[in-house]
Amino acid sequence: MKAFTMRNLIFLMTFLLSICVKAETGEKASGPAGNTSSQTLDAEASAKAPEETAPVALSVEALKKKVIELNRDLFILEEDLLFPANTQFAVFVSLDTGKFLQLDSMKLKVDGKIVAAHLYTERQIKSLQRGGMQRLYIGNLKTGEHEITAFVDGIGPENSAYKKAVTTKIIKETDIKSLEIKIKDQSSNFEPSIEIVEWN
Amino acid sequence: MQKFFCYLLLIVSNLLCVSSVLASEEKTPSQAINTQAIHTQAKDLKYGTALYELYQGHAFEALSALNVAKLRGGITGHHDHPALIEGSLMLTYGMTHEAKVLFESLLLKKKDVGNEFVSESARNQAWFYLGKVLMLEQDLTASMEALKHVNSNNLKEDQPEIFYEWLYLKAFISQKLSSSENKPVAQKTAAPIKIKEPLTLVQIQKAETKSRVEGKPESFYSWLYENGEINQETTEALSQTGGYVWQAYLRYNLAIEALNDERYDIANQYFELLVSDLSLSLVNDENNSAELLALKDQSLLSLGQLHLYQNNYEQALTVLKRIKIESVFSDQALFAYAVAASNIEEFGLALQALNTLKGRELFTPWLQQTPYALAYLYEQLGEPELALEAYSAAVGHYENLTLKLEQEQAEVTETKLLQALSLQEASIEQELLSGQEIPLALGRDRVANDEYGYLQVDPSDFNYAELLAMESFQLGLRDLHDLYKLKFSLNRWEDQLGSFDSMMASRVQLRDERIKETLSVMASQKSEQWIKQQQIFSSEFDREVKTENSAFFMDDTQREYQSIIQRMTKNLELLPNGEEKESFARKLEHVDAYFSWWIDNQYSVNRWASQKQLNGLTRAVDQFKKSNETLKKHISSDGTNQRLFERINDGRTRLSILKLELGKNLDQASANLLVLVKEELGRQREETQNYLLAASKAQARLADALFINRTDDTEAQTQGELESQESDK
Repeated sequence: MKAFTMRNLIFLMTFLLSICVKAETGEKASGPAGNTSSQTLDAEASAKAPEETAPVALSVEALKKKVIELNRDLFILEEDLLFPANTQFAVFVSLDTGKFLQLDSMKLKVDGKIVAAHLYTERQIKSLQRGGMQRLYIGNLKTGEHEITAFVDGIGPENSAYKKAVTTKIIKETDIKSLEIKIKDQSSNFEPSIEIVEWN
Repeated sequence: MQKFFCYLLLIVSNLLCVSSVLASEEKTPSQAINTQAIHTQAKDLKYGTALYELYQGHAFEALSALNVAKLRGGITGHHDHPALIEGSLMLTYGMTHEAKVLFESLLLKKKDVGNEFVSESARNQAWFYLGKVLMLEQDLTASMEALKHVNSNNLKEDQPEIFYEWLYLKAFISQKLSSSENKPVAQKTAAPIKIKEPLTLVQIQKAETKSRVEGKPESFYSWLYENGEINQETTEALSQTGGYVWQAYLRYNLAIEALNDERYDIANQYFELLVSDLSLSLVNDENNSAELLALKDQSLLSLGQLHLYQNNYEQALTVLKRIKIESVFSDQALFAYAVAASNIEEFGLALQALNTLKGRELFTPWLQQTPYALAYLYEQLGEPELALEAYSAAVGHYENLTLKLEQEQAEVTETKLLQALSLQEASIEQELLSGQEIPLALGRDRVANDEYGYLQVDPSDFNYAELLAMESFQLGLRDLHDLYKLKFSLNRWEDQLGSFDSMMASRVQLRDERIKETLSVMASQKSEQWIKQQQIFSSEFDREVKTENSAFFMDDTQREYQSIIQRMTKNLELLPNGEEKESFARKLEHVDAYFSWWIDNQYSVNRWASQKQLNGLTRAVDQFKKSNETLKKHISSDGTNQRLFERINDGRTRLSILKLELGKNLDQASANLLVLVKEELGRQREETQNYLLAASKAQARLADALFINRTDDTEAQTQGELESQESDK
């Protein structure tokens, strides 16, 4: 109560002009409480609004949950339709610290054919540096031997342009094949190291 | 910077509403949910992809990725971190209820029961996040309880980034709980507090100087605690060597608390110490400079207004002058400066400040009093002509504004509202790369928002500035944005389901072609003939076994010998009778007898060998029959495609239900926002009409006064002239 009165007293001090307005308009000065019309309105509005919007907020949360579930199911359905497990082939990119390489872009060749290319934004690079993994490519591959090549472009040590290609041969069997292009710092030669790792 | 500007704008707008130092609310920093704190190099691809979305701020996509991972065997190698990430994502995505359920379920798990193991570190973080959820739900007592479960040493070691936030939250909540509004709650939970005499300014100054001289600033806070000035949680937070920004906010709140308790000299001291420390840290901390600078300006404004209240106008002017002209607090500072200057009769300075305010492009509703104030000041300066001119300008301004507000109130729509709010862009680089030009609108990922999903807007129409200060409006805007996002997601799936249909049609066609090929191959194999042959063999075998026909079971060598014997017998018949023929016949008889004995002797061996072969053949035929049946079954019914069709149809049904629900929610959320806008515009119109009335009356009063003065002057002049004429006569 004290704070409330003080608040209004100070309001009166700093808003001397408001009193003048009231004097001009002939409005009866109603003391500190009378001068807090905007404050009271705000308080009323914010007290009323949550009550009004509460059901919306709750149903929005329920709706979000349902949409996330639907998104999940349709995502899985999409994969099952487009990339069945016996032919599915996916390539992921990870970046461990990235001190010696400022990643710029990445290209992926499967059996001599470019299947994916990506230009990285700053946000994406930061995401990778913090432990995220980008799914660079998902497609289908027949069983048998295949050659996979990753081309990495960026800025290397001493701000020099950095380009490197890494190749590996894989045998695709009847289960999902996942690869990871791992970009790591190599302190032994102050160069980035890039390798393609198979996931089981 | 934009994000921070928006945050400050909210505070400034809040302050503008009441325009008083004591109206300053207790402040909280941007309160980012520190998901960084629980990051680690992914040991699971599914987890890695979820993190990739999370760190780009795509909460919806990250939550979906985690949900997909759950259905696909879960995430391995990260214990309960994915659950913590999911909970914090839910908080970010405005799913506080779900987040609470998740954290509670994590904490309910027993410590060491098989797969149910939850590490101490995960439990610690779960308690922390649960505390945050409860705080967001305004259940401060429960929030405090949850936060108290956190093991401080472990948290500091595992997650130093969230450790300081935890300390801040505890102190903030305990301050809230012990504030007058929450006393009934606080009394239930807090330990009885010994009532001590409040400290005096001199005591505080002495203790502060002593701790500074000794180079132990933490001892000052311990001393304050010992003397009942601050609570234990605040002491703990302020005595740390890290977490400076959190500490600065706590110190600001302490000053505000002293103001609320009418201890103005103490509040003054707290503000001055805070401003001086913030000035120093601004030099050393470049990372948080924008946040610290804003807090410094706000502290200066509060201090200036406090001086104003205490009639220390000179000091008020000195303090307010330190606020940068480009600061978001400068409007208020200029107005306070004008009030202080006019109180010490520095009308020139006051006029300068008001003219600066008048010339500002972003004219906030709160500043609508400036045209009137300017005219009033001219009047006080004894410049009635200028004052009349200013009153007349003010009347014109208020008339126009009233009309504008009336029109806006009548015609406000969601589109107009969003145009006026001017959404801020988070990042356009991805779009630039993709070469697409999608306009910035609600529901787009590019719309900048903070960690709680509140949108960052830069209102181009400042009639909406005060609305943005309202929590209900902010929540409504956030919900609307989220709902549009969901709408985009559902629209995308709707298109996708259409393409799934085409995919299924080609799958069915491909299958039909394969069936045809298979059937033709099966026909060419003449499988029935082979099956019949096997049946004949089998029955012959059974029959010969019964009669123990050893000749039937002869092996290849024996059959070869048998054909030699038969050939020799035929050749013998062709020989002329005689001794030689008889000799051969006797030899052949011996051979035949030996052969008969041999096959009889080998009968059981041969029979078992044949049996073995027959068994193999029977198995192969059975297998063939089985495969044939399965193939026929597959041909006759298409289970896999059927299931895929069912999944697509199920998705379509769920999608249409959700779209309906979403439509209702969108309408409701939009209507709620517009109600708030109309109320706000109405309130502003009412205030403007008051100013219009006041300015009109003042204008009339002054015009009358001037007219009377002029008439008096003319009369006096005429009288004087007449008198002089008379005297001349």
